[in-house]
Amino acid sequence: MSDILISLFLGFIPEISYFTLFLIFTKGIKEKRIKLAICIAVTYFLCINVRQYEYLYYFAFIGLMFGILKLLYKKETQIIDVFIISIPIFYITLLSFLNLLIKEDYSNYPIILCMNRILLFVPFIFRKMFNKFYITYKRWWNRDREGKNPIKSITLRNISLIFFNILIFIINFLCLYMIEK
Amino acid sequence: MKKFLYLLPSYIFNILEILIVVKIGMMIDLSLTYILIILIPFATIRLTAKKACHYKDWRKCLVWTILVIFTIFVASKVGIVVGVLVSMFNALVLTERGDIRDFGLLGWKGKDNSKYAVMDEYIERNKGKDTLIEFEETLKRIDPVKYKIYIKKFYEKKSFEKISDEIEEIKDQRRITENLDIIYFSFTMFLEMKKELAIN
Repeated sequence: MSDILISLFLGFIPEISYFTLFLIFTKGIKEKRIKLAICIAVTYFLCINVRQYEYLYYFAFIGLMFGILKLLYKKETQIIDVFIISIPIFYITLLSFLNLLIKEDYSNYPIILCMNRILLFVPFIFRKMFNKFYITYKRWWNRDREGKNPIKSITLRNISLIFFNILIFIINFLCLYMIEK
Repeated sequence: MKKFLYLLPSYIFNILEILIVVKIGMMIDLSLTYILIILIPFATIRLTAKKACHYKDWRKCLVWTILVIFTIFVASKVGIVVGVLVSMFNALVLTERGDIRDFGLLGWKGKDNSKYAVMDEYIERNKGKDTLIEFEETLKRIDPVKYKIYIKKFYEKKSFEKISDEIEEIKDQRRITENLDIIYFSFTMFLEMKKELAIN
């Protein structure tokens, strides 16, 4: 019973809140926030909790998150949101990996998990910069015919794709390492 | 014949590019079949989708192509299905289909050229600037109801349904569209007048 409670209050709920808040602050979402949280919760439960450590479901989660945003917010959801979605997924995977490394030396798992959950929300100190970054990223994404953007549209896309592709590999690598442990 | 000779350097460049990319794939222990399964969807989408993005400088083109394809191969180490999907996604982003407002969930819906999208973009780029503030203050003074609609639509990003619920004076969603059309017309006229005054 205590395992289920720990799993729920230190696992599932913080992670759903994390994803929902990240998207709300980054995209400046003002409508249908509760619907968004519920959809993310259901998708997360089906992809991550039901089929743990299967990397295809992690990647499917990225696709489904984009699908949720597209269904709820239609034209406001753009292709760059795939890159935006992959950032919190990478961060959460990295924290889980660090959690696993530390766990080998310490015996008190709930304390480590609490610290992990706190670290999960530390980036929100800079939440005001999330939306600014998103607006700038969006502005630089399309080709600027007047040539005012500091970076070429194709260069920005190439950089985004390189990071995204490497991220796919790293997430898979970390998942495999966690399964082995 | 003349056209062929004119295009010959670019054909040679493309062939060399493919050979370099295949060689890189083999260096990271991918079989030729695997490499082709990854590259064919990439090439097909780039050729058939709307306007592929290119660099004018061949050196930049070569460097970035190698980097992107290399990372696609790295990602495809996860699995063939992931590799193909990543390859297709990468190809799509590197065409005009990957432009903002151009990507549809169920296929190619084309560019969103609606007047509200144009106004949205203008407001996003010019928030806090004098011209926009002047327009908003004028609108607020002349017609407070239209100003409310303007704020709810372009700043609060609310749906027509919510706007009609929140503004007492307007109950019918069709009237929201009528009012927005008037706002859009006034907005474009205001900008034109400003341009004229600046020139004179």
